[in-house]
Amino acid sequence: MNRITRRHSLGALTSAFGVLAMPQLARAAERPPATIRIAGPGNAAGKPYGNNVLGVLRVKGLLEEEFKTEGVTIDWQFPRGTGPAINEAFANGQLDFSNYGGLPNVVGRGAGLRTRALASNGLAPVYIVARKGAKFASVADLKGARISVSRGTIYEWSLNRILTPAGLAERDVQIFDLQAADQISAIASGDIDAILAGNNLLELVDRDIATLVYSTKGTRAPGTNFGSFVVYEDFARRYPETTQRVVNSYIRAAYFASQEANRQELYDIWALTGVPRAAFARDYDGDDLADRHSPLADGFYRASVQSGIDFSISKKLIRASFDPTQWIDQSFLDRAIDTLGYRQVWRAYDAAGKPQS
Amino acid sequence: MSIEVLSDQRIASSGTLRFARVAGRSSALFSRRWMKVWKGTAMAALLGLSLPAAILAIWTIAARMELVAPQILPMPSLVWATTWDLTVSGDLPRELAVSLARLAGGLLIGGALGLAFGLLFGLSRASEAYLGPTLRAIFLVPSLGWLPFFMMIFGIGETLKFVLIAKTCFLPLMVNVSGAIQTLPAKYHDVTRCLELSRQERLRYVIIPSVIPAIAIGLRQAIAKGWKTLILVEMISSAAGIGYLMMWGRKSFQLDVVFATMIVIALVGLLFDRAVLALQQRTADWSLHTGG
Repeated sequence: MNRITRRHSLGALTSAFGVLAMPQLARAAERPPATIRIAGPGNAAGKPYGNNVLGVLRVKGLLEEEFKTEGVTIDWQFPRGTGPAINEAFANGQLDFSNYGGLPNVVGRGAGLRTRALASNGLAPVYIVARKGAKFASVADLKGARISVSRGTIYEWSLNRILTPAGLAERDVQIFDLQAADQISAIASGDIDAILAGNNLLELVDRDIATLVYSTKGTRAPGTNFGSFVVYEDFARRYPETTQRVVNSYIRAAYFASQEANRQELYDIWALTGVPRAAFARDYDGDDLADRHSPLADGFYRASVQSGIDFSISKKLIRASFDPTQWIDQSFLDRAIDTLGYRQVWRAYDAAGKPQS
Repeated sequence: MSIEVLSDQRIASSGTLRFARVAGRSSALFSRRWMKVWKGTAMAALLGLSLPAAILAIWTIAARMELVAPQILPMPSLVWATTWDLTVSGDLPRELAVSLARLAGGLLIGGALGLAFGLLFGLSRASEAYLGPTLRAIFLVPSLGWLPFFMMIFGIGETLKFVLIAKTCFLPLMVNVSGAIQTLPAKYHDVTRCLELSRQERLRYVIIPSVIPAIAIGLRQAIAKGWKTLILVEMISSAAGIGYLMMWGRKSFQLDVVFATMIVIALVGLLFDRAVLALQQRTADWSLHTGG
């Protein structure tokens, strides 16, 4: 079919560009743009603010500080449409950097968006909660259930990864694509049986609206949320030094988010999103902060990206595959870690989720 | 009524049966008329297609020159290929069938209620005074405004879609029908009085036939509004339907799917509009109200 070849050649072209496009640091000091535009997923509810490392980066004002002398404005965007909306913003040339979910990462790149992955988001557990009174002892019991999942986001991939080991497929459940506020009323009224999403669901458990059925917390079980910090290729090519400085700031934020001493302050920062502090406390309880916020493009992260690509191909979300090694550009990350002396902070994991020696 | 006073468009739209009857009178008249009709239809089609053709041309140029990112504005050829694929794979017909069934159900409920209340308000000023303002106020709040509330009551299943479409289809019929009755020419009432018609006879022989064009107009508005509402509702809370397919296309960053569904939604909407317009013109013909 001509559209496959068309997209394929587009992909090949952008990949080829990509290899050429990532130059080493420019020799002369470059002048950064007047504005650096950076986005993260908007919150389902509450105030749009940064999650995870991006939240720390914003609260600590690391980028504003880094570019203060040059008078660069940092333009923060948190679209409620989350990943899919971020892809649209990239396509429209309205964004330079973004930290967003693994599935929209892959779908955007697969559709020919010239993004490059700079670092991993780390990982986050996925939760499935059920309405009160529903009898789901395990994932296998979800057969025939009405499940709400925000489509086009990382959770669509998570659902597939979680159902598969239980011997189920998407067609065995009834999927509803609801917005967060509607999810809550729908599960409260019993119109849906279950919701699959992130730590914001823990609030429903705390409020006794729903019960926890399954989570990947404390594990690297299939479906564990992943994502990437990405840059628009044109930006990185035009402003390599600025890109490096942004990555450095991002890695400093990741370092802050990885320190056990900062745990309580981190909960306060993330509570700015409107998700209750208690939900974060519960979500992170007992977890190693460094593992949760590791920016390393390790074997586990790469395997997750590949899984996202395979899933997207099989579900026809993208029409042509691409090579994750061509998409992930580790050079900025490596330089940042070396410059900042963070070699020992994070542990790398292999594709199977075992610590790499 | 002589043939000559009927416009070409009227003949063209009022069906072949009548046309054949007319044409049978004279073959010379037939060919002349037929040519005129054909020319008129062809001309209208040509004029109607000129703007879409221009848009298509601009679209092609914009996409080819990549004035807009290809991920946002796909090539028309890609949209065509996608539309074809979705049709052949059965996705598009399946989702369209779901949407049409919802529209039919909602229209049946809302339209029937609207008609009933329209008749009631038209015939009884007192009931209009009692219920009219409240009903109008309720229905003037857009469906989207009612959505969260309706979700609480009706859930997010099929009932919600039927209720919202029914709500949308109610007002056009109610307003048009009650308005038509209230503005019925005085001579109709005179006739009723002269013939000493009973209440039922009056309803059957005078009122109902005279409001049929108003019903057709109301129906046309109801279908247009109901179709738009349905697409919106399906985009917000649904697991099936053409609106859902559109939203899915956007979320999976496949704007060609979005364009394909937009074209189908527009064409189906246009088809409905033309069909009901034909019905409307037909009813206008034999109604006492406008034909008199």
